[in-house]
Amino acid sequence: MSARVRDAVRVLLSPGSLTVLGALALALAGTVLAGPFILIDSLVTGGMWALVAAGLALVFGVMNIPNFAQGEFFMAGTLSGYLIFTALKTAVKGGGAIGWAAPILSILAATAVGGLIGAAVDWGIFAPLRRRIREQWVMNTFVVTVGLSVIFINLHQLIWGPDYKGIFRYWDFPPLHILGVPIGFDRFMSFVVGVLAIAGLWALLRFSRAGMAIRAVSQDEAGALMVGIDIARVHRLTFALSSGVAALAGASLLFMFPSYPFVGLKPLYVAWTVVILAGLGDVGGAIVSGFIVALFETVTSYFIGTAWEDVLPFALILLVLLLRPAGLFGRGVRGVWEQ
Amino acid sequence: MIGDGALLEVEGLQSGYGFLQVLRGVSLSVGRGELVALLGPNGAGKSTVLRGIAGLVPPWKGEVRFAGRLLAGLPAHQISRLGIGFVSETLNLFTGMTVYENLMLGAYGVADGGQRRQSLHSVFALFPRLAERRAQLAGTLSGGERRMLGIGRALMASPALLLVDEPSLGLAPKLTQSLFAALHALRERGHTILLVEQNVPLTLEIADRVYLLEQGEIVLQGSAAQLAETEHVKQVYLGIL
Repeated sequence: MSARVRDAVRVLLSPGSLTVLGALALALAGTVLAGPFILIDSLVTGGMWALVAAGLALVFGVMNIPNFAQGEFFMAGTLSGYLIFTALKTAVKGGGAIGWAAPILSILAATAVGGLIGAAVDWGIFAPLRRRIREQWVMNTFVVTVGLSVIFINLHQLIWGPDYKGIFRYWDFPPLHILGVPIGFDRFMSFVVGVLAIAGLWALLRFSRAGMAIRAVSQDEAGALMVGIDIARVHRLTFALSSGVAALAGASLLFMFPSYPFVGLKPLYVAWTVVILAGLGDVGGAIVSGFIVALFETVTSYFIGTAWEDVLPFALILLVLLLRPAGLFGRGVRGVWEQ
Repeated sequence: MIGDGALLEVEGLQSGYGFLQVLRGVSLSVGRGELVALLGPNGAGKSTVLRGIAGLVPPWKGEVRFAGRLLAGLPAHQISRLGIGFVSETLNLFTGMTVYENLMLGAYGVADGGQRRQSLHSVFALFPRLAERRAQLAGTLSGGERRMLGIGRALMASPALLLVDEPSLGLAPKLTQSLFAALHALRERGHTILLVEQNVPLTLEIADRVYLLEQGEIVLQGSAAQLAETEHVKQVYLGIL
């Protein structure tokens, strides 16, 4: 009995749960002092940061690629979301059913576009690279992804121009009132979409055959080969999944982040903050940390000022790297090739 | 049993790592339903033979023929799908997943759910311990349980040929005995097994035929009983003077 209590206390006092409890306390304090929008804003952006970061963690865990082009998949999501949405709105006038269908279709199509670009990138770059050379893999792929990011940003600028392409009234419905607090319908739906996407991603990885194969490859590549898993296909699927969820986040946050060439930089930095906080390659941790970082941002921008929004999360990274380099949920840096 | 009817035929296999040649032309065959053992000292290349058959090490020269099909150059996952189950020395378990998930991944190439359930049933019948531990993470199992899981995972695909690399490695004598009993039981049920081992006396008890590999070459072969009578084996491997 006492042993069980001691175990419970140890789990409770681990850095991971302390951080989670601290974040909950912060959310509560912010809500009491400033109002419920602190909580709501954190949940809205948190879900999306969680998705972008989960993709980053997945690709690092399975393929050992530190993806610095993840933000550009977010950008691809905002852009294709914008293009599809405006095309739908001009083709079909009026509200009602199209009010629902336009954003839903835009988000789904943007996810598909992101996934396809991701699959193409793996097919054209990482798969051939993997067959040729495996030395210095992490460094090489890091440089490749930085180059990809530059290419995507400039392609956007070249074809669609540098101006903001935002959408007014994405979900064209009046605000909701929950417990007397007005919540914009855009925010509410982003939260719903975020939660659904996270749940979907989790269920896919946990229960589906493809998800099992992805986890198997991340844990033991030779073992995966031995049971008959086609590793090249798993890699393609993983990269497509990761870029697909980033694009989904981009298309869902279109009302907050209008599409322009550099829109991906902010999500990229945030996602790396999240992933370092959680421990590289830890998908579950990335989802929890996504919400924590979003909360930090919201609280900072309200109480200290918007200019400090990015400063505090980065200070947090420094602190985590100094004190717990393996990440808060601390299973260490686990890539396929270190095992 | 040797010759055209053989399930697995290895002919003049040469392989290695980088500049280091380990196998200098290994030929062996395994007939259907046989338990064939590959014995030899440390560093003789026994594991490399198995890894070469499973496709995890590319062959430099020579042929591997399985059920009449040439395997050379096929990727490892396709070789596994053709019906070769490989239990490696390090087992390569998915340590962050449960025993049940590991077994289900073993049947990754089996599309039929009924067949998967049946395989799971027979694995649990062979190793009841795994049934008790089915919800536990593979990384938390004991050494003996890990061996059982490694073999069980390979059996889940109902392979026509089972390659087993050093099942006794790091196990207490009693556990080794029970694992060998399990291998023997598998052979009695008609499984074909190619076994690599260092424990010579126990292996000679359960094997039908034996190959002796030294420095990348087969130096002796014959039935287990014949080999046990050879002076070389007696002196070097059995310690009988």
